[in-house]
Amino acid sequence: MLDIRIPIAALFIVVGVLLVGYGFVVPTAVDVPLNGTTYSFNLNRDWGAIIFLFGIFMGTLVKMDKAKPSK
Amino acid sequence: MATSAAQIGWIDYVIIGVYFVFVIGIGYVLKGKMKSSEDFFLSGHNIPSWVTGLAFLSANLGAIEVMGMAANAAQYGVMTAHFYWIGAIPAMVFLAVFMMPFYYGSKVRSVPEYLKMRFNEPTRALNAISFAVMTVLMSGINLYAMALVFKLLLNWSIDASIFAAAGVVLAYTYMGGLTSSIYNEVMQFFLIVFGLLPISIIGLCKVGGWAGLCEKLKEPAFAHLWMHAGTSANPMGVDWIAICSGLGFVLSFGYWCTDFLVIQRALAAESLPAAQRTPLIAAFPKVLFPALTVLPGLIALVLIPGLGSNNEGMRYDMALPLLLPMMYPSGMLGVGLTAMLASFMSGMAGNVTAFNTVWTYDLYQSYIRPNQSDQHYLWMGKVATAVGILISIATAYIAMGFPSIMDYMQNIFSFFNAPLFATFLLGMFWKRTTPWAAFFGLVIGTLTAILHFYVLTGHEPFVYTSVMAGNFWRSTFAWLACFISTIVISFFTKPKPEEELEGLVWGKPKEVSTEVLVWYKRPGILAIIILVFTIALNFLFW
Repeated sequence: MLDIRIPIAALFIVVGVLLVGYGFVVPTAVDVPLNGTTYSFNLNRDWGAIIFLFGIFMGTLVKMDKAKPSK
Repeated sequence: MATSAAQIGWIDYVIIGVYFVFVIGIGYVLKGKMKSSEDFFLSGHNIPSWVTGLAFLSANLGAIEVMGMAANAAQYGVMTAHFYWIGAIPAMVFLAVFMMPFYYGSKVRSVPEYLKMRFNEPTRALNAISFAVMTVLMSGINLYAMALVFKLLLNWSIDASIFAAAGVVLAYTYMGGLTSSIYNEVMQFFLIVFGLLPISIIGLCKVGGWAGLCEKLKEPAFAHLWMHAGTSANPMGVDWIAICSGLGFVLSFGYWCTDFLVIQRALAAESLPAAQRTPLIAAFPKVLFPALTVLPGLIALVLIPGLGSNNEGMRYDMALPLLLPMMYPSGMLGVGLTAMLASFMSGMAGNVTAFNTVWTYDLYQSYIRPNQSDQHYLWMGKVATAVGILISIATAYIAMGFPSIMDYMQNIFSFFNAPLFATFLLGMFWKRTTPWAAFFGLVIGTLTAILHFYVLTGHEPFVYTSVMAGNFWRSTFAWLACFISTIVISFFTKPKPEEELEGLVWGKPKEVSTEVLVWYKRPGILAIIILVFTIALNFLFW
């Protein structure tokens, strides 16, 4: 049966790359006030990177399971 | 750097398109694995518990959860979290620890089939028919909610949205059956979390943190869970008795412990301990989900002036969708919209896969065409999937006639699920409960709910300060009517012989699991951890 982590990893890597790429090409600031200071974030780039890393994490779990000797 | 943009752009369409490719792709990959009806309807009983657990959660994570709970939070405040911390977690724990051994251990393929084994054919038929009707009615809500969001945010045609989403769900459930639905639900779970979490984080910063949010809420009672529940003079209009009996007991246990939509996910697990862990694994993210639904509803109440007005685009149901373009630039907007699409589609697919199983096994195979080949029932399951989706399209238009998603849903639940929980409670834990008592008890309970809704509500003493209060009390009355009448009729009718109750009733176990599990896989330990955490949250938001 298909390991569901594979499509999850692929989807999140693709979406992450799209967002990070778009964030660099069309930088858009999101202002977030915190403790009296306003911070500007490139949300597409930053959250896209988190989404990408989650995809890599899922893919790594699949790789690690495949590397384990079967019982 | 340009400032935040709210218009949908090409990148958003690309992200939505990529998502569609993946969901249909999963169905396509699984198509070749669907060799028997058991593969199609029950995933061959070989799915790991973390997958069934997240699917258990996501099947319930449709429009009602995502849009409805945010809307409720904007309307009723933090008390909406009762739907999670008293209205879900205890029932999920009860299902895992006490009821799952009967469902999984008796090897039933559906909830109505359990009723047949425990009681008789008429009880199964009654439940199968009412469940089939309920699932297609519920399924339509998701289509309607999705179409409404995309119409108001993006000006997409309502009809085109309904047919496009129905087409995608049809494609992957038709090809891959329950497995495809479960796999997509897991993927959708992560999309929903990653697509909606930044709204809560950014929104909370914008309103000055939790303390700032509480200060800005129009009533202090909006920020408390129990403090104002001593009487019904609170935003929800219900006192603690109605919350505990209507929501905490009848509605939540009626839904989480008897609704085949969620139980089907646990039945797909690879073993009994895995099936027991399924609701518990779901409970851990579930207990934190108010951060993605209730919190944005409260933030929307503060940041969106005029929310809740009569204007269609400003109704409470739009609380969360309206935050998307406020918080996200193009790009993340696509992720947020995909998260909402994912929630609507997982909610719909969950209903459709439960419908096709109950239709095929409990109605078609039992009463219309028994003794056919397995391939015939596999074919019928696929036909039922297509027909279920067509009926869902029709019910989407029925749902449009109701003032809010929540009103529509609670109506349906109070009619069907509330009395059913009384039948299950007695059936599983009192072996004297007789088959005919179960049947007539269910009929009486459902009729009580109908009588309460259509005749009594609005007349003294059945006058309620909110629609929600009416829902909670109607559920309590329906449950009580079913519970009492089932007990009374049981004393006048013949029970089943005890040897036929093996594995179906408390105290008559069929098999006892001797598997030794590490602590984090033991249902009892997981149940205690989640209950302690839930109690702590109740105190924290008192």
